[in-house]
Amino acid sequence: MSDDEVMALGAAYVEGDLDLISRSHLAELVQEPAQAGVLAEQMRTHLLLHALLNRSAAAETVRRARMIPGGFTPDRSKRLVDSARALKPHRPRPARPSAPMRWLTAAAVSIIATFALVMFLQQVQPPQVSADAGVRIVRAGNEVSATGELRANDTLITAANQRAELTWVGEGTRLALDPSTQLQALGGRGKRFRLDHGALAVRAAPQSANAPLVLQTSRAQATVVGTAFSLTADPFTTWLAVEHGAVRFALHGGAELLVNDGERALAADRVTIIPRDRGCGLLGTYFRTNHLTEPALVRLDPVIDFDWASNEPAPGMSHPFSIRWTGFIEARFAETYRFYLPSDDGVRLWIDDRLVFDNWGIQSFSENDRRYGVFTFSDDRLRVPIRLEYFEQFSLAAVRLSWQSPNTPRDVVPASALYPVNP
Amino acid sequence: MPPATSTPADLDRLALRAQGGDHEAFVAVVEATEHDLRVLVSCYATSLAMVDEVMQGTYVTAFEKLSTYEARGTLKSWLGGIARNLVRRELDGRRRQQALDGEVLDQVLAQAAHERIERDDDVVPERELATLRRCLDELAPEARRLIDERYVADKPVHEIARLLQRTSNWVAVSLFRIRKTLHLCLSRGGVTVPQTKGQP
Repeated sequence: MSDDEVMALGAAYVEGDLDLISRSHLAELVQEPAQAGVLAEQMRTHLLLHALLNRSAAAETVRRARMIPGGFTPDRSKRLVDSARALKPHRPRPARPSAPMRWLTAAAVSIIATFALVMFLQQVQPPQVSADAGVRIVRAGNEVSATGELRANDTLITAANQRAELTWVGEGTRLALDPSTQLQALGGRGKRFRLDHGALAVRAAPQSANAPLVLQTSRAQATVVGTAFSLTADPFTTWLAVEHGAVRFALHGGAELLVNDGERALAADRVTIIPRDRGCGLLGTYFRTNHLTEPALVRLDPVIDFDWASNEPAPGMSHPFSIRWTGFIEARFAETYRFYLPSDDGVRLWIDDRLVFDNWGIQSFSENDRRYGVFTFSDDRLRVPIRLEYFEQFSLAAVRLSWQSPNTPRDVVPASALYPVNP
Repeated sequence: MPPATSTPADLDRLALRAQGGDHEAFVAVVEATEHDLRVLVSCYATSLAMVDEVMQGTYVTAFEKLSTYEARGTLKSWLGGIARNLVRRELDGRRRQQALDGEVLDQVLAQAAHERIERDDDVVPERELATLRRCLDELAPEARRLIDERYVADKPVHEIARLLQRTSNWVAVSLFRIRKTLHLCLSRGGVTVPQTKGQP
């Protein structure tokens, strides 16, 4: 009986048409070495017939070979070079100043340094802490009660379900720490803090330009102009949402971006203002393994249409790797959409927390009109959560997310339909 | 375009031009060697995806290491060596990964392929192909038609079933039997065995 079963199930397996239950049954049958041998012979003959008789794969190999030097076709390569130029404008090196100019500069620096020293001596009063029971302050390695002043180098830590607040005597500035947040007071001029993780809301009175309120995270720095905003940080991203006023926001050492009231900004591999009225892409977490562990970086990807070939997906990353994109997807029409996901290698897609496409295996990139996932948007749920996971095992890497509906021609899902967060 | 059957000297001339930066010559090398290399890789791979993956990996590696190739009429062997190494690495990776994932079927195929590649050192693609062609020529017309529909026309099983007014299961099982016959024929160096009754 098992011979016939192996034949029926093995035939379906070779054709890629085996469901999970049958797959599990066949897996039991091939524990017997003879049956395992039959399955191996089938696959080998299938592949040899394909190699001998089917010439479509050869054309694809030659097409890929044409792309090998840069990993991209000339058009694609030009687009990348153009966009790189747009991101990094060429800045000619300034001419070396003459000797008198250098002396004048040195004098000016001395005056500024003296002025800065005077301002440094005008110490800002430390903030007062009011906190739920159990909130801790770590001071010089010891835990102290979270009351009174928060001094330079103190770390204020809230656990789950605990909140704390910092206020300054004589002004309306207030920092409210959410649960599970860690904030360190830094020394120096003005009000300087480092948000290690968690989230806080800030309501700041207008600050002196010489003694600003500065909030740092592991990736970015927000300098307060006099405003109300919230800041959320993890090791890879920092989110800034400004309620009113304005905040200067920058990666450490990077150019500052002014974030105005009502705007939200993300600091990941760069600082980006997230528009309120349209999508701008999904948040991609890039992992150093093929199974979504060991995160290496997070960035905003406008569309999911990548052909890395054998190149690295991001600086310092090599194959294998994996990526998880998250955010929201918005459809224009309340109707059924097909989602096409050709990929090299595996990919799976959840929409509104439902698995709609699962092709989590090693494969080559190929357009296949017969393979797609389906999701129906309704009038009251045109914008829903999306999660897309992808892994690359070996050699070439590519993935594309496109969609099609009765009123939407098949195309790559545009950035305007993808949101990193729910606006 | 290279000649339909490039000689080792033809291939060396293309390789030398490619080493000098002529990318079209490199593409011509790919066109001239793709078929034999695909047959070699198909002898040891465990899926069509893996064949494509190794093929592409082989040419990427070859392009990167082209300057190290010494033109002695051995370009196909040189490419075959790269492909074998990539297949080995791929099989090892899959055996490890699939052991973790519990993917028994893929693991079984990877294990069988691993044993085969360690055992066979002398697979000659041209010889395998010639034998397979002889075996195909021996098939009954109905069986040959099924093979042509499935592999030459690249039709999925359900489409062939509709065409022949049969069930998909019948088509898949018939193809299984034909492949079994062809495997026996291949292992006997091109000598066919009688086919099972009731099926093509």
